[in-house]
Amino acid sequence: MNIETAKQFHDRLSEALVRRLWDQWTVLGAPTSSKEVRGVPWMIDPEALILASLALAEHETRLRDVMIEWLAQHGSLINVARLKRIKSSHFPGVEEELGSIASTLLNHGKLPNWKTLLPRDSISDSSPPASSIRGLATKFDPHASPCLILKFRALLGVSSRAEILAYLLTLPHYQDSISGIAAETGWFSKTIQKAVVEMKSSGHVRTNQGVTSRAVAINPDDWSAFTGGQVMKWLQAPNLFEGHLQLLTSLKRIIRESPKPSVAHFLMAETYSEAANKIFGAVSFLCQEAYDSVDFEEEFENFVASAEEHKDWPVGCVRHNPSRTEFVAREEAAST
Amino acid sequence: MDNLLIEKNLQLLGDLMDLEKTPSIRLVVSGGAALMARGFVARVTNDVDIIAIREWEGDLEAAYPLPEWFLEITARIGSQGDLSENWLNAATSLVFPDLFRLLPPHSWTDLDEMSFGERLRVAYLGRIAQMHLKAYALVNRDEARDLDDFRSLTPTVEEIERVSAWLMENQLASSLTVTKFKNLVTE
Repeated sequence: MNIETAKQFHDRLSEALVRRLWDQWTVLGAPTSSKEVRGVPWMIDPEALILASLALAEHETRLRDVMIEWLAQHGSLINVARLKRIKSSHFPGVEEELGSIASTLLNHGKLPNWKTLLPRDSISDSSPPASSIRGLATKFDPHASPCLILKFRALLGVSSRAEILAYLLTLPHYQDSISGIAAETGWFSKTIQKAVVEMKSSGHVRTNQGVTSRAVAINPDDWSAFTGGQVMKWLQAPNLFEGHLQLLTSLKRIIRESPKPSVAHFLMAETYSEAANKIFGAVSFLCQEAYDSVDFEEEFENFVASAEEHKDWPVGCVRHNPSRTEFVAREEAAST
Repeated sequence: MDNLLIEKNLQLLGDLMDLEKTPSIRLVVSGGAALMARGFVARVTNDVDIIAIREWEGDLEAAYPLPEWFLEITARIGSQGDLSENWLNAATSLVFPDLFRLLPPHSWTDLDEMSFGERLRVAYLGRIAQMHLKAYALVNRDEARDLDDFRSLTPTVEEIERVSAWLMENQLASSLTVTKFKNLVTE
């Protein structure tokens, strides 16, 4: 991979990712004025969306402004504990940007509980100039399927319960273990355990003893009034975005350090392989080993084009074996 | 790996070491990779066997254990190509760390050293050293390729005698084993 190719991939992938973020912010009611909005075929993870937007804000500064507008209206529905946890595990590079957003919101008298997101050594004088908040965000549509997590939070309060219910509703048998729920929703197992114990008292959540562990289960009929009978896919958005950001970071390094094409190719293949594991984990989609030989740049071209076109992103499939990784379209993956 | 693939991977390793700004290292390689690099055989090998490490000033040290940073970077390359993670290893040195010290002094003046980037140099042992190491392998394990490799070095009768004496003097084999060795290689 030469530097020019790396630049092109970097620009195309970052632009495509920004567009996919716009799609989600638009669905949530943020003032995006985006003309090319595509539907969002999964439940939006608000914390992951915020953190990914901060990570990509250098490519699109308007993301920050739009996010502030939206948070000024809906910030009380953001789970600060989950935001911190996901930041630490998937987005460690956005600490400063998150503190800056928190500072702006606090300066406008919004979201006092975001004070804990300010850097420990921050002093009020060093806060960035306050962006104006114009109240442009509209209320999110509680009947839109991608907004189910926010809807549950509005109904049940901002706790792990919203993600527990939303996640279980996406499963074929509407049940999973405590550790499985924790891994998918980004919470500690103890947090899920504690919430489930209390939720059982409602009569709408039960536990079934499985072969190796107890499964937490719900009856989907209990929740059809909330979902309208339509539940979208569950997506581990933190992993999905982290995988893509790793690829952008690697491309940036290649552009910055101009290694030999063979080394650039190696770095990209190495990162793609690591990112593929995260992206595969995020979409929980069929993964097949690949044995045929396909040119890596051709693979990466398919991957980037998918993000640009939104056709298969992110529910296409990354096929991976120890020596090589490839992206395949959703239809092809489903047929293998 | 054939010789071309070994060189390609070593070049990638050296370039990656430069990019990552790792410490420098000078390797002394024996085994199939060295035999191929010096043109004694044309075959393939699964790994590159490092028998010793040279200090930048030239002093020799046992290759085992290889530095942790070096193992990590070679494993990175191994995991991405059609190689094993330990495609570059110190297996011989692990079994017999001081074996290289027993080699005839001439061994260290007959090295073919190549640079791969600024931080990696690889020296391949020459014919005499390889002959001694292959003789050691022949009396200590049963692998057909050792005999083929030894013969590819086209040893003279005098050289076989010297190698046999070396095995005895350094107590690397019993007299009976050495006799069997001589019979085998002169068949």
